[in-house]
Amino acid sequence: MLELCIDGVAAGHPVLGLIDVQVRAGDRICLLGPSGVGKTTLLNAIAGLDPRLAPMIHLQSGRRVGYLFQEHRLLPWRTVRQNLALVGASSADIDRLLSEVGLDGVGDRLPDQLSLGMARRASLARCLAVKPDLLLLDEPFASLDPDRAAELRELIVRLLEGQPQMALICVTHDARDADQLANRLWYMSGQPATLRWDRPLTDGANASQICATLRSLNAQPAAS
Amino acid sequence: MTGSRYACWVALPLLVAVWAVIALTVDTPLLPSPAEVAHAFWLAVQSGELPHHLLVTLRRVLISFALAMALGALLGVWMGRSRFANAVLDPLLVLFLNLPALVTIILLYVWFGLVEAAAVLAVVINKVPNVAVTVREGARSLDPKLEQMAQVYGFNRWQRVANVWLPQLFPYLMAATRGGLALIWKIVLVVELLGRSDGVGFQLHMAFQVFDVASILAYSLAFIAVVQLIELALLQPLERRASSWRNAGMQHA
Repeated sequence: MLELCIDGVAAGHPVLGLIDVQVRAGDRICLLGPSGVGKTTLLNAIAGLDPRLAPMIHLQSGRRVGYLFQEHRLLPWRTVRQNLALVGASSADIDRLLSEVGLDGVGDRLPDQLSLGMARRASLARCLAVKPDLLLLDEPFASLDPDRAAELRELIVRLLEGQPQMALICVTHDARDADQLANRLWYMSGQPATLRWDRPLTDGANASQICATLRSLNAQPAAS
Repeated sequence: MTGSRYACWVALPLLVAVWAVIALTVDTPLLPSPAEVAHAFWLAVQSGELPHHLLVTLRRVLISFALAMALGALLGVWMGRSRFANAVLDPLLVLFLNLPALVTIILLYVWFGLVEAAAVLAVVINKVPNVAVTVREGARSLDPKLEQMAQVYGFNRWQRVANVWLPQLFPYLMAATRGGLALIWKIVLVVELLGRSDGVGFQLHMAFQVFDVASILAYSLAFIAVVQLIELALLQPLERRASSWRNAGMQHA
């Protein structure tokens, strides 16, 4: 089932150019590209945060979006439980979600009392609390130490396995993330930025193939 | 560091001592000694006059304070969030910020007569611009990242105000409250002096007519004590409660 369709171009938009893609239920997309190219801008647009790009974003009506921002963006003056309750989660839901992300017993803490990794998992729990059809992750593994990053990657893989219909768009700068999480790869570059690569990752694809692809993409001069 | 805990008890007793010495030296009813002021205070309390007028003034202060805060906060948030509203209203704000309190009071008494509504309105008009300016500063500094979060997660207006805006505006509202209370009770006294027949301002006026300096000081000190009591018993606990989350981060290593 079609979840999201992005078509066309916002004339004069400072960051994004022509982007023409469709996202279906169960798509697991990793979005790569040089830093500063506009990956977060695209996620913001999909989440409905950029009014200039709204005309080209067509989300199926009734579809819910969960957005894991780069920062946790939990309300620092509300406990983790209160933060989850604010997006509509019931008390039982909150217990289940916190347990799922490995945060049993920290529900009554304030966000500032959590480590970076815990806060990000609490924020992920909030994403899941809205029962999203489309999950947007913006650099979910950035600034975590390798062990914490690996834990979070496994956690997300497990969550995705339990929700085969959920679509995922994950911004990352590490091709190995794509290997574990994605069945489709987007590569974005240029100014204004366009999608230069939209390719499914079939069973045969592995990390080295992806990396080779990306290297060759990086080596190509951006078409004007 | 150990001495600074008691340092706040130095200046006021010293002032009272100096006052007592000067009063004893010049020996005139125009500068009563601390003991005479205390006596005047006690007489006024026993006769019931001081509590009555104190309560009347306090009521006026609280009513005009509540109105000014509510109106000023609404205006401040609106001007801080909307460039258009700010462009339209900013000249008015500048005008009213620089309008002397005395002019507002006189004009309203002239137009509406020496009535309670005119008195309260005069105080409100004097205070609203200050509150609006302070809260506008707060509204401009609202974290846009949390705004985005609230939008993505579909917060309704009330959720946004209570959970996202109020905690961020709280320090600005407290600043407006502090400044407001201090300013408003002074204006209320002028309003009472010029056109009411009760309240601390009216009593000061009566005492002024007969140069009763002891009563003037007794009433002033009593009201300063009341305002300080509000600060200690109401504002500071409220502030501690509302900002307790700020210290939470310290507990995490």
